Formats: sequence, C-alpha cells, structure tokens
Amino acid sequence: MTEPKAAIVALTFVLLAPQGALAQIASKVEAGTIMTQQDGEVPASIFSVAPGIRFDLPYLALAAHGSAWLTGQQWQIADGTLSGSLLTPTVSHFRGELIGNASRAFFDRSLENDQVDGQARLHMLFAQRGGIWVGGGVARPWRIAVVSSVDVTGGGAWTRVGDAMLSGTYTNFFFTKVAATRDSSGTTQSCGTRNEPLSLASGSGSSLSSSSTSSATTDCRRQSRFSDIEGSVNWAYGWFELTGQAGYRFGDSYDVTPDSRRWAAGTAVLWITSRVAAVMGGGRVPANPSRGLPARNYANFGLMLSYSSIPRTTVPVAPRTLAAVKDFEVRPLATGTQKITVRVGGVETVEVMGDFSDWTPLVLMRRGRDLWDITLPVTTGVHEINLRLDGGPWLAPPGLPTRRDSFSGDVGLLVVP
Amino acid sequence: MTLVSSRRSRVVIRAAAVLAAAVHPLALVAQDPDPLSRLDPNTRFVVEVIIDSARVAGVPTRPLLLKALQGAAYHADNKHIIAAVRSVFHAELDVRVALGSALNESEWASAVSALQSGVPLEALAKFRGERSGKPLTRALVVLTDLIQRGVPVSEASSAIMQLWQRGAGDGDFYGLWKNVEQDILSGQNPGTALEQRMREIPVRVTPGTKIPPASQEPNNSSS
Repeated sequence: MTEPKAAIVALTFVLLAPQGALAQIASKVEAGTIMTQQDGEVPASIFSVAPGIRFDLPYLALAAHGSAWLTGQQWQIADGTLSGSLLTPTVSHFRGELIGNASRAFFDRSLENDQVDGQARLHMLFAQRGGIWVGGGVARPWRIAVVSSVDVTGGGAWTRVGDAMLSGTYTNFFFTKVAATRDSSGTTQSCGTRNEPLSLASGSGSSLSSSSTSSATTDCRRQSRFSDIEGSVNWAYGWFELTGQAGYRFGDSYDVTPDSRRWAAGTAVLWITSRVAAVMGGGRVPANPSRGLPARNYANFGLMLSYSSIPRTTVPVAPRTLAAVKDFEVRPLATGTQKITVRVGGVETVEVMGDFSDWTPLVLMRRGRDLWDITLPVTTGVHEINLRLDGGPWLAPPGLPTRRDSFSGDVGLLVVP
Repeated sequence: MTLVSSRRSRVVIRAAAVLAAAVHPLALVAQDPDPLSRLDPNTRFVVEVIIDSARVAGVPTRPLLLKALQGAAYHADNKHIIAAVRSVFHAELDVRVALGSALNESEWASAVSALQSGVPLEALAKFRGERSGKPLTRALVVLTDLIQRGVPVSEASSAIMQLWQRGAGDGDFYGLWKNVEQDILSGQNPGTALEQRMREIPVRVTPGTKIPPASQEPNNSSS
C-alpha cells in the first residue's frame, strides 16, 4: 500500500504545484573555515557547514538556515533559525511587513539558548529607488542568564546607487531581566544598586514576578538599554560581490562593554561559476546580549554552492532597470511549451506577464547567480510580453521587437514559430 | 496476491508520473474562469458590450479581452481601459477591410499592432494582394518595431513591402530587424540604418512575382 500512497502524494504535489510554481525556492550551502577570537581567549578555528533554504512568494517569505561545526573529531549543531515575513501590497508608497523568527543556538554548554521574536515594520518607498522604514517588536529569549525579554524599536533608510545598495539602520534595544533573589540553595542575595527589587506585597511589577513565592521581596528586575547605528553597503560587479557594514553602539558603560562600542566587517564573494563561489570575510561583531554572545573577531574562508547568492537585505524591494538584463531568451521545450530564460544579477525577483498568462504576473525561478527561468505553455503565433525586475516598472524585454502600448509604454512582441 | 498488488502499484505510480509530466507544464498558468472579474462592474459591462459587438462583426474577441486584462494588470483607470479596448476593436474592423477575414490569430494581432503603430490602411492593404498564402506575422511585427524605433512610416512600409514582394522569409525579416536595431542602438539614424541594411538582403524572386520600382511603393506619411 505504500507505493499507491506515494503515488497519491506525488499526484497531490503535482496538482498543488501551480500555486507553488508562482513561488521561488532558493538554497545554498556554505562550507569553510571560521577563525574566531574573543577578547582574552585563545583564537579558535573550526570547519563550518551552513545550509540555507528560502521560499519566496510575492507577499510571503519563509526561510530556514543553520550551521554545524566540526570541532576536533565531532560534528556539532551550532545554530538553526526558522523565519518568515509577511508583506502587504504597496498602497500609496506604503507597505507593511510582519517578521517572525524562532532560533536555537548551541555554541557550547555555556552558550545555549532559544529565542522567538516578532517585529512589525512600515515601509515607505520612494519611486522604487529608495525608502525608509520604522518598526518595533519584542524578542523572548530562554536560558539566557542576563535577559528575560527585549523590546526592539528602530528605523532605517535604503537607496540604490548604481550597482550598490546602501542602507542605514538605527535600532534601540530595551532589555529586561527578572531574576529571583534566592539561589538554588535558598540563599537570599541583594538586588544590588542597579536592580529594582520587586515584591508581590507591594504590587510593583507583580506581573513580572509571577515566580515569587512569598510576600517579601523575592525578585530583582534590571533594565538596560542601548542603541545601535549601523551602515551597510552591498555592491555587485560582474562576478564579484562585496558586502560591508560598520556600526556604533550608544549606551552607558554599564550596559555596553568597551569591546562592543564599534565594529566593522566585510565579505567578498567571487563567483567561479554561476553556482559556485569563493567566500572570504572577516571583521568584528559586537556582543549580542539577547543571545548571550560576547563580542568577537572572526575571519572566514570557504566555498558557497548556491542557487541563491545575494543576501536578502532589510528592504522589501530593490528595483533594477532592464539595462541590467544581460540576456533574454525564449526557446521551445516541447509542443506548446516555451522556456523563458533571463540573465540578470543583483535582483531578488524577476517576473513576466503577457497575453499568454492573461496578463497575470508570473515569477521566474532562480537557477544560479544571475540565471532565472520559467516554463510556460505558449502557443505558436505572436504574443505580447513584458518583464519586471524587483517590482519595478513593466518594460519590454531586450532583444525582442516592440510596439508602443497605451498602458505600459512599450511591450515586447514574441513570435513563436 | 503480493505480485498483483505490486504490479498494480507500479501501474499507479507510472500513471501518476505520466500525469505529472502532462499536467505540470500546462498547470503553470492557471486559467482564470472569469478573468473580467478583475474589472470594476461598470467597465466590465462596457467591455462585454464591445466584445459582443466584435462577435457580431465577425472579428476576433480574444484580443479585446486581453487588452482589458492588460489594462487591469497595469491598474489603468476605467476610461483608459475602455478606450484601449475600443481602439483594438476599431483596428480589427480596419484590418478586415485591408486584409480580409482569412487571417490567423497571429496575423490579426500583428496587423492590429501595425495599424495602431501608424501604418496607413492603404499600405497594409497592399499586403493582401501580394500574399499568396505567405504568413504575414513576422513582416508586420518587424514593420511595427521599425516604426516604433523611429524609422519614418513611409520608409518602413516601403522597405517591408519590397522585401515581401521579393519573397523574403521570416529569417530575412528577423535578420533585417536585428541589424537595424543594432545600428540604431549604436547611434545611427533609424531611416539611414534601414536603407543601408536593405541593400544587404539578397533578392529571391519567386516565379511570377512582379517587382514594382521603388518609386511606386507606398509613400504615406504617418498621420
């Protein structure tokens, strides 16, 4: 009975595929050596394998990624993250986004934790060439000694200059830690000068001190905050991509350790083929209190096997013009079926629409660094077709005859023999 | 029993695989059972009336539907959509006058495009007399594109008609278009580019074809 069931499952998948076909599945695997050094500790070198997969629909993106380290003779799962974002359509330059993440980190026995977080953002887009966003959310870490919850608020701006994407963000973190004054042996400890005592009897912060067991002061609440300002640039030129970021952390000296005041890092990607790249990077990352991770320096070198190379940025759209399209090709696969192939780098979505789709946009699937394709039923004859990159304007594909159109300016004329 | 079950399972799996191969490519573009529902009710009503008129007149109705859907896809306003659909309908009526009704779907579409790009009705009508069963599509698509790229209507019409009368095939038209496009992109005057490239195309006169002198070619200007 297993095989018929498998057939039914396969058939169900096939029948459900039309909806999935409008989506894009991207995956990549990075493998290489990471060298890290935390202040005061001996540098460590590990071999890391980091797979990732992303599933994009026009208004929904789901992603999962993780990494495993080879330490000594043993493999160790280092971290894993599931994330999703929901985007609204753009209405009068505004677009909403809901983001959720669930992650687990296990770097060593002292740095093991889970976290769920959610954020809402409001994006404002300026003629598809730049934009700003504001947003806020909350993160809930577990098994972190120093944080109970984190409120996050912030904003950012982005713009595209030539082949480069520039962005800047300002993020404010507000940490709350509620801890019992009794340790496991029952010994009561004072809250200290920077912590606020909580008491059920006084009613102060009662909702936070639900673990209290007596009317006396049993919990301490400590609050701290700092703000990060960070700028980043992503530049792609031919087979070379460069990503860099630098930041500064504001906050008093008790909340911000000196090694996390400022940081900078960069990654260079050199594509050897359309799907294989050499990756080199290094720099300094600041401490992440919500994950219990200290500041550290790192350097990495490895290979990336990829169906998707370009990191998803913090912006919802980053449109390019059709001048970026290196090649547009339509060739027959079988009777009545055509494969449309587009070569364009530095974009996150490529869509076509035309009379063959009843003027419904269809998302091409990414097949490599700059390779996108879709297979469509297109009958012989002349068809009107337009192409769009990253949600920008619809334009006639390069390499096709065109005609002036009353709606879109130009429309491509595809003749299928 | 086990053998029968196993064989049946294999048949089911193969059937599923065949069905998957057959269904999958075609299923990529699901047809909307009521595509005009994308229009607002008033616009839909007017578009349906125009489509009915086209049906009665005996001209293709699908281009009208597609034009309305295209307008909806570009979020065009209702008046704009109706005007565009009406314009296609009128062009179809003109195409029927110029070329007759014995056209396939592509020829209808390419002739409508040519007319809407500014090819005069008289110039289009000349293709009817010289047709002799040859497909019109590629010639008209190239003519439309050349006009779009700035070649004067009279020169473009004349050149394409000359090629057509010389017995040029789809490859000749496509080659001419590709070369002229490259010349224009590299900065050459569109009219000059076409004139020069025309000289490079070999004459392939089919038996019985009458080649008129160039001066007798249509010389209508865009109006």
